[in-house]
Amino acid sequence: MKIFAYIKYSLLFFAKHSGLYILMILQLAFLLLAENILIANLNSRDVLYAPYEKIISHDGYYFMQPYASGGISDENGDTIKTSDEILQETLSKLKGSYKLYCFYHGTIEDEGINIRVIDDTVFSVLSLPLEEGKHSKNACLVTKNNIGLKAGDEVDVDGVKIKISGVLSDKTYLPDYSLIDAEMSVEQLYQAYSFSKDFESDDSEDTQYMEYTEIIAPYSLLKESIENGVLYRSGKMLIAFDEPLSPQDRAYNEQVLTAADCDEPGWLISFEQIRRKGEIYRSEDFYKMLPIVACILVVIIVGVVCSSAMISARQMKKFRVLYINGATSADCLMISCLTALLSSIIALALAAAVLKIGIANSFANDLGFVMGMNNVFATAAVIAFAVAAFAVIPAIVISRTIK
Amino acid sequence: MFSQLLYTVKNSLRAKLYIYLLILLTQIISLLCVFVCCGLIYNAFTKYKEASFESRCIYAEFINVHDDAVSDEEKFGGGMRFDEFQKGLDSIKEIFENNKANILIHGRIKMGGEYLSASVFYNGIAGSEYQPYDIVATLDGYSTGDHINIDGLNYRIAAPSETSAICFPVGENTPPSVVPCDIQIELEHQPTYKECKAITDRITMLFDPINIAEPENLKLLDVQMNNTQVALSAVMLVIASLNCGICYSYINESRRKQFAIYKICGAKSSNCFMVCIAEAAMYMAAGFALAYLVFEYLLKNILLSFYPNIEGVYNAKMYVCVLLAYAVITLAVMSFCTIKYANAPIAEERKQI
Repeated sequence: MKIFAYIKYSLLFFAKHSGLYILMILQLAFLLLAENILIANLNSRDVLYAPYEKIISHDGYYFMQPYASGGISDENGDTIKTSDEILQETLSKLKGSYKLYCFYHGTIEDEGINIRVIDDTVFSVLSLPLEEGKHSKNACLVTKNNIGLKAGDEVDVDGVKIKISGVLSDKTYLPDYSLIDAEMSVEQLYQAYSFSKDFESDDSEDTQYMEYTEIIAPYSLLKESIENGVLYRSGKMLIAFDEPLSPQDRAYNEQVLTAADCDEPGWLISFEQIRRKGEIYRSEDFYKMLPIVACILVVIIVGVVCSSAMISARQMKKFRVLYINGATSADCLMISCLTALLSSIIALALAAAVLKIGIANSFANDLGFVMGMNNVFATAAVIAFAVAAFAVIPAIVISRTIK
Repeated sequence: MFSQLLYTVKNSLRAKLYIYLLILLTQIISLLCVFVCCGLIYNAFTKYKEASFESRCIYAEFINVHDDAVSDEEKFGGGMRFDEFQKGLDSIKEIFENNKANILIHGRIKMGGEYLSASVFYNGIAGSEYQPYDIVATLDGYSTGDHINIDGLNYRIAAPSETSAICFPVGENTPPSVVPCDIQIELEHQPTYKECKAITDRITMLFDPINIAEPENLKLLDVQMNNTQVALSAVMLVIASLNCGICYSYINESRRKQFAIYKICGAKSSNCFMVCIAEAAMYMAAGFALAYLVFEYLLKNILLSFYPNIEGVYNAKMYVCVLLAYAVITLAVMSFCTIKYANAPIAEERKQI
């Protein structure tokens, strides 16, 4: 029964100082909004790293095979060994069990479509921002285009019909294993793409400025097309060893893979190097956001403490009246906390509504918005801090006045 | 009024000093937040243009100046003259009419038997005004203000150059004998594919460069980070306003009882109103002064270590604008709230006591 009294008085206090409480609710709502936008943006920085995180956590290499350009030919131009045969020969000499992650590509010239095929493991974790549709393991993604392809459509690739599950945003990244660089990180396994820059909407018959629409598909969907030679394997791939290698095995494998005595030796970048570079870039990103993180934290602390102090000071008269009528300090604190909880719930609902409207209007793509469990924990922490402030500060005020 | 103001403030501070210290602290924190957000918004819009310079820039090279294999005479002697180059450049400029550009040309000019470096800012240098036939150069035997004859034209050395290059800040008055070696076209915003192709095709057709580089694509993650900083700055400005609003709302509510007492003692409504406004102005001035000192001497250098390019925004003009905006909003809000209480009849106010 006491709980009903607490609720009744907290609602009465809310109604009595509604102006101050409304300001406090708005303040808390904006604080929750700011904190969620910040954390969601930091989560989205992982969009490029997440698909390769597990792969590069092992021992392994980003490898450009010897004779990647097309195998070994004789003086007449006849092929002696294909690049596939050279690759198999090289890999058979490696020590340790490994998994290969290749990249395949091809073009449907008639329709102006480029196809990029990546390993199923990588594709399943890919979470690039979408303008339309959703990610699906059994369908492909298409870039924004002016040939009418949208989510739900089917594309014919050498007789194999593949479904499009989503349309990538205007500016996006396309998996691309064409670059190899001594200072590379995971970002170099993608190509930055912009529909509005690279693909001009041109209704005229002059297709001089036409670029290709890009499709990203998992290996399992186009396995047959790859085996039939419609899609070509890139000379660059990821080799991830299942178990950590000893230094001797590592040195031996590096010697085999680079094949330095060939006319066209291989190139190797270790996963450790890629990981290290990735960590540097991610910490640089966080470093850039540090001033605003500090700003938000300070404003949350000062704002909540100030609001609770002022509201408590305002409510002292009411608390005195309740005290005279038999309420204890604990009852007064309980009422104060319930009022704070009510305000926090309203603020949370307001912030959630604004975020939902924003996500529906695709500001998630503009800001880089990926919600995770850390959003929930941070929001809970802010609300707990607000409620705790309304317990501690009134306790201080009450203890100094009600003696 | 002054004595009433002093009395009000003294009583308030004695009664609830901690509250008023919190109010001052909240104002200071909110203003610091505003200063930081101004810098971040400036950074997002200027760094956006500067950081994505590669995404707005078309570069073409006509002569490899680093090639040491041939003599300067052989390398530059047969190069295109600037007056011929200028005709082609004017036809390229027609393509990006609506997309303003900074055009920078590096080249060589033969003076005293030697080929000296020359830079031509074809559209002028932003933020500076040079007269026709002004140059920026550091030359042996010449000082600032001297006149020098180049290609039969009389140029004035307007300022010394920080490099060894002779700089022509007014492109159309560049001496005809300057040999262009490369051109950098920095467009105001990222060109579309069509626009870029049209520019690069025209450059290739007119000048047959040895090397031409197209703009890079804007990276999604960079764009998102800048947009997030702008969005967060806007939200923080709102929170700063709400924080100050809560503080002044509290001060305002505290004055209702005092107004009733003043009126009983014979004060007019206008006196009460002015005391309240003066008190708000006093807190506002104290808060701004302290926030300015803390930011200028403690926090600015820390912020600049993260964003070195925002130093330009922290000038007197910015601080005055923030102070004026803060003063106007505070006094408007306080006036609106105070008028109601200041004009309430005494009987009404006695009920409040």
